Amino acid sequence: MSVEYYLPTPEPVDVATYDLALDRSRPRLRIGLLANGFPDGEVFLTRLSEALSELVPGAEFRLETKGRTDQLSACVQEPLLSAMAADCDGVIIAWGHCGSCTSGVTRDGIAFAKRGIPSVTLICDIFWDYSLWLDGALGMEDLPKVRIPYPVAGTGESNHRAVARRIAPEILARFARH
Amino acid sequence: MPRLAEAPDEAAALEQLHAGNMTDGLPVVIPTRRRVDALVLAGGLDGDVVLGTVGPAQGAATLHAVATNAVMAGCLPAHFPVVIAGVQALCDPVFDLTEVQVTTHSVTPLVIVNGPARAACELSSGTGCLGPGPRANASIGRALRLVMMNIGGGRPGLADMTVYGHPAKFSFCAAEDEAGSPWEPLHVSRGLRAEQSAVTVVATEGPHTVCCVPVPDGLQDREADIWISLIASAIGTTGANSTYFERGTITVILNAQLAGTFARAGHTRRSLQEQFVARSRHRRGYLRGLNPGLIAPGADDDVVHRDPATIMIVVTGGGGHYVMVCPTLGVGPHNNSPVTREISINPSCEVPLQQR
Repeated sequence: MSVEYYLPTPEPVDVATYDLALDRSRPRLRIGLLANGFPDGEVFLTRLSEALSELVPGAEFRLETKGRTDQLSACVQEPLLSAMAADCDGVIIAWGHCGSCTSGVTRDGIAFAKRGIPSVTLICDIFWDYSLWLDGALGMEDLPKVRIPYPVAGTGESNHRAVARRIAPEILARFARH
Repeated sequence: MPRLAEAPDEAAALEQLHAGNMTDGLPVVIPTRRRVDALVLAGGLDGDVVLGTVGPAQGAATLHAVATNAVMAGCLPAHFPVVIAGVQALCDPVFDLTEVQVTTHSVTPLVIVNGPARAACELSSGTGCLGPGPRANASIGRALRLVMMNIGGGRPGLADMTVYGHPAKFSFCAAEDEAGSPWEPLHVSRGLRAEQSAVTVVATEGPHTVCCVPVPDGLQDREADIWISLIASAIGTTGANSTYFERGTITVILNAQLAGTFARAGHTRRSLQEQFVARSRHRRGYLRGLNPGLIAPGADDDVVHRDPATIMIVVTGGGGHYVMVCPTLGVGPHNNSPVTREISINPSCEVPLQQR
């Protein structure tokens, strides 16, 4: 005789689709750089801004750190969220370098998307599948992100420069995709 | 609406659940209608009542879904009110469940039960109470883990990114030894009344065992003091996140015998917490020398401060001279704060209780 049983998982949530794009033709393009507090995040974003400057002459950058090393999973809070949303045409978020980080930066991307601000999130490859799952679990698919090696933090300035130069074109492509 | 599946028999249903990543890797009890309905009845609430939202998936922990996972874990109806309170505690925002689930750290909820529910569920606070062995302890702790996996999405490699995991992530639950403890029960120290039943969840690493052997002749009057320093050395272990982050709650598990030694030396829970903090502190410069990525330069002579309230003392376990210290993660908007929730034993659960 067959057995009928309940599934222990909830029904899937409704998921919105990310549909923003960065308008690179805007004069005085302002790109936000949001570090999450994981070691080397600010340093790497500075190297990234240098690489992007070569590809987008005239672009201006605003570097911010949203939290501390022990607050990695927290979403960007007010007043920083509103300030960056008002001041920036797009935001690059660094980085998904651990499980908590990946959760936090994914929430950041969604928070900016809800303000109409395009973003690109940097995710280490070992957390890539997790970040894709998070998009759906948190209700917004296809958030732009760029895969980076694991680790980048702690690998030194020359590697930071090399990774930044390598991913800069991909970041711009992901900003423009929609 | 709860979703149903069908299989030729229970063995095939088990394989389906394994294949769907809906187990913890061990065999589960198949959550048939009859078994789940018995637990829902024991919960004393409608099946569609939402107990909380389970991160990181933000899944709705309906009573029915929690009952389904509790059946799979092997829970009896008598256990279910404890599971309900445990889920409510996990879902309290100050516990930061998403952070506990997704971190690469090995943190997991330790579940402590106080009050009359301990006897009603036959929860153990004796030898080997943290397992393996005691059925209620194992089943209740396992039910919460399955809720975290199936409703919260915390599956290894998908959203539970723990580098290694560890056995306490299967189940980590015990009752407090209220009869043997020299102090007020844990839930009373956290604001409830002794006649209430309660679940306390606290985020911990796996336990480290501290050997508090009797001191030689001539040192007996200093025994408690010596052991406090020894335990404090484990609390301040310089490998743990909680030593650097100054936050997160560190759990110290004492059996009644050792707790009695401290009580006879005049210690209360509070005075012991204060002593543990005072003797486990390090200077910032020392910690930065060990782990430069976690301590910013500056103020090297400052001592990393910890609030004594962030040392949780639990009295449980069998006889012997060991204490267990569980450091913690200490990451999240609310620092993985422990949560205590009352267990509501509704009169409607008398029917299934009597059917045990």
